[in-house]
Amino acid sequence: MLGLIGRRLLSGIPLILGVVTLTFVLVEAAPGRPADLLLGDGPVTPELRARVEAAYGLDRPAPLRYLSWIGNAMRGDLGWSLSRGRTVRSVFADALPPTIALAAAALAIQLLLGILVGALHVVRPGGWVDHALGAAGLVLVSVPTFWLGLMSILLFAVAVPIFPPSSAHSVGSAAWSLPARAADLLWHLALPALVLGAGSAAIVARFLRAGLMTALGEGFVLAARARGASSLRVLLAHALPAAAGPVLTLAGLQLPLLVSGSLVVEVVFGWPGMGRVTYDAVMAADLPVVLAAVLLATVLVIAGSLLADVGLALVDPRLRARRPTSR
Amino acid sequence: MSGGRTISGWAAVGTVVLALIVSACGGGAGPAAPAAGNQPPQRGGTLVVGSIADADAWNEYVSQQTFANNLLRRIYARLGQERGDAREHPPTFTPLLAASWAFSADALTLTFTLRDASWSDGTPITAGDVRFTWTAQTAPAVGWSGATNKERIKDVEVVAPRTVAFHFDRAYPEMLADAIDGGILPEHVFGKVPFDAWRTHDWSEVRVGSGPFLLESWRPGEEITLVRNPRYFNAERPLVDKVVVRIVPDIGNLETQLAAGAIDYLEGVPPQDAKRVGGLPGVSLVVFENPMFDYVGWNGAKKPFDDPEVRRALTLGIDRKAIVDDLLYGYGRISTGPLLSSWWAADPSLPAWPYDPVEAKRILAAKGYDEAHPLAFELTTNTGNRVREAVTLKIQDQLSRIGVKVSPRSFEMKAFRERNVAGNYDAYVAGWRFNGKLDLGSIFGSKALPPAGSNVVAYRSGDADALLAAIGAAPDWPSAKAAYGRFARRIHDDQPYTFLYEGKRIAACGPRLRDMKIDVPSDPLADLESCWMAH
Repeated sequence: MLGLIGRRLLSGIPLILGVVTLTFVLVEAAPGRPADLLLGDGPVTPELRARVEAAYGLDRPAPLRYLSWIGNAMRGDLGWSLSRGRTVRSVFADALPPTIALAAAALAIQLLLGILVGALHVVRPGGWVDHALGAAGLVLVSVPTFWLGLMSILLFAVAVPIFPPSSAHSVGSAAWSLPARAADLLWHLALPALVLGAGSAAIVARFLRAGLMTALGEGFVLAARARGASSLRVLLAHALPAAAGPVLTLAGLQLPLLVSGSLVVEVVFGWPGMGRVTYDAVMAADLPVVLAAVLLATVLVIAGSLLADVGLALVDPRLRARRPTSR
Repeated sequence: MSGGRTISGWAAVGTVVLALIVSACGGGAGPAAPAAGNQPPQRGGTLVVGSIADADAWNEYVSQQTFANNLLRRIYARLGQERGDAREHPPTFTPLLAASWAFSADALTLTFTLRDASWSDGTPITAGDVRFTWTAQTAPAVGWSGATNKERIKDVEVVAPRTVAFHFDRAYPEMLADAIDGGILPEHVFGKVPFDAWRTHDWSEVRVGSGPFLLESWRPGEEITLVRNPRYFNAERPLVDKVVVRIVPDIGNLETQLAAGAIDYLEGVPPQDAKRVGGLPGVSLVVFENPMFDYVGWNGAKKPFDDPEVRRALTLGIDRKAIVDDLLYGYGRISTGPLLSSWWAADPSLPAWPYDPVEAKRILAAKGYDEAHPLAFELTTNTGNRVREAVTLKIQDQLSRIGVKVSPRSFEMKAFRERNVAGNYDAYVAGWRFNGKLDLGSIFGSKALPPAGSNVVAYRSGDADALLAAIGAAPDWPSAKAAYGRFARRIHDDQPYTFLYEGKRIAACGPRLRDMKIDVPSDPLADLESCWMAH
């Protein structure tokens, strides 16, 4: 297992470098100069442009800036955000916690709701509950997230105002006690997390239904039934672990979302997270932020798929029994 | 959650959804400011402002963002505050940090006497702070984009702790405006950072100010909180205790929040939404001049756009009233350019070219363009600006009626600018923001072709150059106005640009907000200290 982890981590290094380099080249190759966006709409003298470019180090050749960024990033210095007037690290430090909170809540909803619905599907396969849940899932997967978000705001923040329409905090909450602030955060989190998690929960439920249907027909499940295990025990202790593989892989691949954020949900709900930071940076050609966001996302994609493999091996005895040396 | 709403339940959902659908064909609402009625102003409370934009920097001299600058002007007071009277003459000013000012007999020195005021940390505001600010404004390392307004100020002299003199190289109409431009900074705070580090310094931790409000907290991408400055020189202001800016990058969400009572003030309501938003219970609209205009720039370095008659014909073929009515929903007016109509130097007697497709077709026919040999060109704009993209389509339709074939095309902003500066275009739709002054020389001067200047339409006119020189040399505003008038007529005749429209800006005020006035279009939050919240 350790060998597998080590090899996967090592193979990730060239991948990270490749992705970051490609991103740098693509952003650099785009027409125009970053200073254009720093200088506003009005007429600009060449002298002013030169001074502004020099202040941000944009007057140096691109390869030099690339190498300098790589060197600084290895020391933990991700550079200066041109569009936000702060270090990239402090921009991320502010944007990461809300994104992690939102993605973690959405992931929890996705797994809990998905597993629950997936299990309900197979209580009576082909029955009306199975069909109704399938239809509801199809609707959730089909509707665009922004529409679901807007409708949930209209329903639960305007018509029946039980949740706030946007942001992560109430006005003046900074002066509240810690428990009150935590409750306030959960209150603000509810709608965006539900919207973000609901569509994915439907996918989890479909994956799980298919896995459970297969597992329930396998020999070890029949053996458990023959030993007199209850239906609930058969489902939870025997069929579910065997059917969990695709779900865990799916959850692992969702890990990058924990930090990369969901742009649509963050925009619709005014959630101050990484999705918006990255989107704004792309639009403003804020190269240091774009590079750092890509770096972070790449690292997490690698870590996510690794964690999914490890998790899979841990829950499925059939995989645990194999030696991972073949990979 | 703020309450105060009377509608609820599924009926309300239907109403809101229906309103969203109906808004697609809504018309303009009339201007209406929230009135105080007979209620006396109340102190206290929190004003919640909705904004699409976040601040880019908490230093006026490195920030490039209009919204951030509007907030910074509430934190760092200027020597004076512009009054909204620039339509008839150069703007006059209400004293702020300066108690009074006077010109020397030769009109080359402008001396300000500061009021007895202090920074929010208790340090007195001195003439040294004023001189320090001027040093920063003109420092090449800072690279302030407004530094051109200070070009004729040769020195700022500290005469006494509360007396400061601005020395000019010559007298001209806008000396007072140029001296006052820019918030005064506390030297004991900003002076600790070398000028060459200003652009890469995080100013969000600075809590010292002189204006009615101070920055209390900033949650980037989410919320800005300004709090009442207890040491503001006017003890009667501001009336509200706090201003909280909720940052949501979606105007639809902000409008929903206004409807829900979660925000009290929203600026930049799209014209197509104005009728619906203005019809929300208790919500009133404030419509004010947007100090910018949009235009079509013709590439004068390319045939046939180097011919003023062809440019005039194209202007005659564009129905600008239809653009204002259909795309701005009436929230705008036809621009005669190149001066904003609400600016004192503009000549109101200058007529806009009419929509005259018959005459346009006749001119083009005389130039050899007909159905067999149509004039065809590409009209570009920047992607993402929905109004401008719609304008290119509208112009395509209008000019097709006189036999001109237009191919609209959008480019990402950086690519768009690069093409224009390189002269790699036929015609483009863009706009100019007007922050009190427009540097006409860098736009129309024969020597201002890129990269030396911003004359991207390659306009060359000895007459216009002479008039620009006359504007620069005018000693007083009446003679400057006359020179501006002659210059505007020259541009009007030559049509290097077809000036399309001046848009209006729409703000919406919630039921609790009172006395929100917008007198100075370039500084819509100027009167923020006098608005109040009904409890």
